Amino acid sequence: MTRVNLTYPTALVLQALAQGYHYGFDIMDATNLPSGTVYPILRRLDGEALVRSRWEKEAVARREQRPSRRYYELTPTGEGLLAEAAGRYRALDAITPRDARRLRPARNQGHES
Amino acid sequence: MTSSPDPRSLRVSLALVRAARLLVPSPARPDWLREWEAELRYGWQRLGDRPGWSGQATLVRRALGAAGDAFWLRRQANADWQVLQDVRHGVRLLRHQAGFTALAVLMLAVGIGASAAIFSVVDALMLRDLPYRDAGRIVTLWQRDAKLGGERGDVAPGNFLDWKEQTTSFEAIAAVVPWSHDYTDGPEPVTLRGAQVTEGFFRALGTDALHGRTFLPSEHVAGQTAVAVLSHGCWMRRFGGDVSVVGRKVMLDGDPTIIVGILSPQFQPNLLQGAEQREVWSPKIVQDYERRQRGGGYWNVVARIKPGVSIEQVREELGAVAARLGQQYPRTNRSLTVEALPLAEHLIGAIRKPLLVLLGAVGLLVLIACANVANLLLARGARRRQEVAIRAALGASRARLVRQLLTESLVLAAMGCVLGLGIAKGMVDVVVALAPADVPRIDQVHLDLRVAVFAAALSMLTALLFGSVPALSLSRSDAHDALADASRGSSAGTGRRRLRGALVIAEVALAVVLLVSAGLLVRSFITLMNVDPGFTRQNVLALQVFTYGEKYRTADQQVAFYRQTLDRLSALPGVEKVGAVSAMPFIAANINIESPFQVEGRVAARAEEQPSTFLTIATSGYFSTMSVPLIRGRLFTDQDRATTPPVALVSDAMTRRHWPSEDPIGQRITVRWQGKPRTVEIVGIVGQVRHDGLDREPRPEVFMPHAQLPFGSMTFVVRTAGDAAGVMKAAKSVVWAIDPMLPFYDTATVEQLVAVSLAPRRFSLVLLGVFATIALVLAVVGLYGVISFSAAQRTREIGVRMALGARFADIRRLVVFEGLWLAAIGIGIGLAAALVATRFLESLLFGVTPSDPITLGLVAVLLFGVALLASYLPARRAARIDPLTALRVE
Repeated sequence: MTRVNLTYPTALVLQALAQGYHYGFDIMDATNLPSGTVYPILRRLDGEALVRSRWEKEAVARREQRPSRRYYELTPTGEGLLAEAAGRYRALDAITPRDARRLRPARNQGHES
Repeated sequence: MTSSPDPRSLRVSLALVRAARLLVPSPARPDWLREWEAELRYGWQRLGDRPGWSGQATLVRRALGAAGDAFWLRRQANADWQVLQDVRHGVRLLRHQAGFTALAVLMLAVGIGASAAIFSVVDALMLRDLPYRDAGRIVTLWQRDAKLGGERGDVAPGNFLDWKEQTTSFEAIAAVVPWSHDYTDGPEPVTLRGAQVTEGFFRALGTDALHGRTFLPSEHVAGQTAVAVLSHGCWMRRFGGDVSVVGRKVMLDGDPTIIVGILSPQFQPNLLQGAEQREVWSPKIVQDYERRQRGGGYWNVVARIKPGVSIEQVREELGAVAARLGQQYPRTNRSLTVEALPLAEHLIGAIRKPLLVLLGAVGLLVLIACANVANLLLARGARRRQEVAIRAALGASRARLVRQLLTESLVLAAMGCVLGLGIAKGMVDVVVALAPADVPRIDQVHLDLRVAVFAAALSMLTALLFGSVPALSLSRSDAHDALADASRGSSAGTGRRRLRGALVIAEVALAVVLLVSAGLLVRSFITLMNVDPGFTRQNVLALQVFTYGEKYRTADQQVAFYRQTLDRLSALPGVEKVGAVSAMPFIAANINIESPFQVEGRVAARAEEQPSTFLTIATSGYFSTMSVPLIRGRLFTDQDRATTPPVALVSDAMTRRHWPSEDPIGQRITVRWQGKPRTVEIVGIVGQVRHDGLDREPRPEVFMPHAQLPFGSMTFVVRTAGDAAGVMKAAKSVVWAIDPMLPFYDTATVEQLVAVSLAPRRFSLVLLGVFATIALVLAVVGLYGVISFSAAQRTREIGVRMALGARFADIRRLVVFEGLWLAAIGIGIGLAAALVATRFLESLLFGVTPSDPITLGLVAVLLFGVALLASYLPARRAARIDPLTALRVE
């Protein structure tokens, strides 16, 4: 067993990672959790080797004219924990990228206008 | 990357993250910052070219969250950051219990405030360095005459000159002679207090002129143009701080005098003697006759010790010099010793003891406040036991719980500290106003950073004191017990109830100590107020003048001036009697002339054993004006003139000492007056008078008539029918009508003079009284709190008792008894402690012993009375409980 409390927000973060959200801000968008919650969860998961992190490739970042970001992904143990979480919180299925899109009105506005 | 300057919301976000990075443990910091910056820039890019406000708000909000992230990391690295959490928790709790918080903070604030105020006084007066270079090397020198009771006395000129010539320990040694100058260039003639100083005075103090210079050695020699140096205060007040005053000629005592320098504001002119703000300093030119004066002294001596010489070496050297002088001049110096006292010690002088007593008193006050707050916390703790138990059950360690509870105490103490400093601010003003005016540096007492630091440290200490007991007690609770019987709070609460009882006992005991101390001072003060000084205090004015100089050269001129002035004063409306005297009781610049005397027909005593007496010049009106009674014989009459045989009156104290079984009237004695023997016949005995203080014994005194010995240092006394102060202005005009250039050295009502002499006692009395009253209130509040809380806890028991037939009175007795029992133990312990503590007060008492049974008894009765009241109120409430409700409490 890990020392990570499998809280609801933790489960959400695991879920988001599994669904392909690999960067801090993207996970926030996907889960609708504040940064002050998401990051500590990531740090804790990282500390327990439930996720691993690396830096985004310089080349990609330079192409997009920004610094490289930190990339998080689930480890096999992390995936195991997610399975446990899914059992505990059935509502997790409800979290989909579609819901997450709702959380990004600013970008949409920018495109529409 | 973008080359244009970052837009504002991004700039703000980046700034927030950069600020938060300081919280991140340093090893992780660079990566942490890199990640956040990358995310923020990414987030910004995503907002597009024309970002909407809500997108920007999200960005800033997330940047704020970086602080939470950073906190989390810091907390992981260092568990101490739990403190912040505890503080937040504590503040939240305290906010929800506003009543409790307000009461606790108020009690702490009173304790901390009083302490801070007294500390600020102690700090300014005792702890702070004097404003002189190497002030530790400055000493004051005094002579002690075993013949005169061995009190520390001023120095005779001849002795000073010998000390100066025969010692090598000093870099500089100088004498200060209190002096005053008539300054007649101003709007009305005034006397400027000042001093004449011998060569090296400013060197001894290590002070320099702010503008111009101090004196040259050549200026201490006769025949030079008169020069003077002004104090900074005098320069500002009278010359408007005009630098061109340096070098200007002003008229002092009718002589043109050149102002050669202005002293710096740090040079405090009241440093050497008494309250007088000295304004003018002039060079002392030593006269030949002064070289021969060795008996009673009137000079103050200050010296600077050479570097590397210890005070013990100085004392040794002075001792040797004094012994040599004793052999050389046995008549005057046989019983004389020299005392060297560091300047700082001399300045603290008489105020040291009262200050230490007050410091002790506020210490007790703080302890009482702590006990009270601890009690409040315990009472509240009873309600919080569930919360604590749940936290413990969820895995909080005991240390963690104690730390959290202590943090709450610290938050309370911090609030108490802030409010306390506000209280201290007000109190300092009161303390300064109450303090006797002659306390040096009292004007420098104020709240500053040092006091704030003291208050902060004190409040931390109090937090530990009042917080640790409840914290330990509460965290010890057995979780099961607490959860099981939280609502009942019966058996498990016994230990805590005993603890609260102990705290109340301690409070009562401490309050007893304070009240007894204050009570003893009050008793001393009352006793002192009732001391008969030997003269009347009501409706008498005193106006001191010094008539020297051009217009008063001859004896006839002197006599004429006083006769004329007295005649006109007595003609003023509302004036009943007038007189004049050289040695006015209780006046600051008292003219004490001491002389050996020889009774005619008695065997002459050896020089060093010759009795001495004080010589006073008076007009006959003085005695009736001051209501000094004539005991036998007659007063002076108009027939006692320069041409008639010299006469004198003696005081009752003198008669008792030197003619215990004879009648002195008709006897002749020989005294020394201005260096010459003078034989006078005693024609009457007058009542004895206390001269320097109500607590000083009357002294032997010989009065001689002004008509036979015209004298220029006199005080007019004017008895009025009504309020004396109202006649002051008219009395001054009378004198100025005769001599428009004559300044008054001092004017006051006799009542004021006596009041001033009582100021030091009033100072400690009022403050200690206030502290004792606060202590009483706190103790009563504490007792009331404990009894009503305990009664509330026993509601069920009371219900049962009533259901079983107990009457209201029985219930009341039950509750009252608990309070009285606690109070009685507290009073007992307090009285025992007071017996020890008040021994320290002994030197401040007058006419009562430290174990005065009346004071002890009154305090015990007073406390018992208030304890009865404090217990009766909760008892009455308890007795009114409806038994049904009481039983249902469960």
